[in-house]
Amino acid sequence: MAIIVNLDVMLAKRKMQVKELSAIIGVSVVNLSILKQSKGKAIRFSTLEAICKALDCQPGDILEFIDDTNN
Amino acid sequence: MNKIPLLFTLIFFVLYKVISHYSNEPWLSLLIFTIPIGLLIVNLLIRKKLNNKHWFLSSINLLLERKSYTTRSDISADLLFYKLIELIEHSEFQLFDKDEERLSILCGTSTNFLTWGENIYIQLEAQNDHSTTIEFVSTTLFGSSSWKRNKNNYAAFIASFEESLTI
Repeated sequence: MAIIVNLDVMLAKRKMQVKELSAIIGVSVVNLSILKQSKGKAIRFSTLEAICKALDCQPGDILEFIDDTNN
Repeated sequence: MNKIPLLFTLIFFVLYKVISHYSNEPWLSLLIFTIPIGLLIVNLLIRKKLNNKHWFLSSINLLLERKSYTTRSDISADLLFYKLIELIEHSEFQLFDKDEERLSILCGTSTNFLTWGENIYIQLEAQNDHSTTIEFVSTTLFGSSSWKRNKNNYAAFIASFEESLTI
């Protein structure tokens, strides 16, 4: 997968549980878990903005591009 | 298309006509109508329990039309189970019953002027590659033809599912 979601890394850095983040940003725990596993189809700017705000980070801290074409 | 339910209904109707024509006993022809109405009442009473899944999906139950579809998802079975529950709760379908252990979900559409409603059985199966197989069966509660409602239920379900993956 080319785009990796590093939500679990940021959550660990901020010592925050998925449940807490869910309550803050209003996205269900199930959807955050799917996002965390990079199984979502797309992410809304509004969701990304809310996550960045809650975790005090940049979009680049959450999303990472890995070029896996050579593998 | 499975023509057996339609054929069964036609035989039923012809039988009713023959009995009404040749018999002077009105109760006899009435009895022919009592059987399907009785079945409908039973189906409506037991529709909301997963335990009765075999009855609705059984090939013996000739008066119902069923459509089965299978699809696959990358999401693990446990997580997908909760995802689908959440999806159903926020969709046009009604959640009737669920079995977390067996990863089974029963939902359906409600009764209205056009339909008695349909039951939808969703069965998840975890695969070795961590993906999940989703088996979707939509069945009428009464009637040998769903008038494409079974097919439309699946289309609506898949559309909602795909849309819900945009988080």
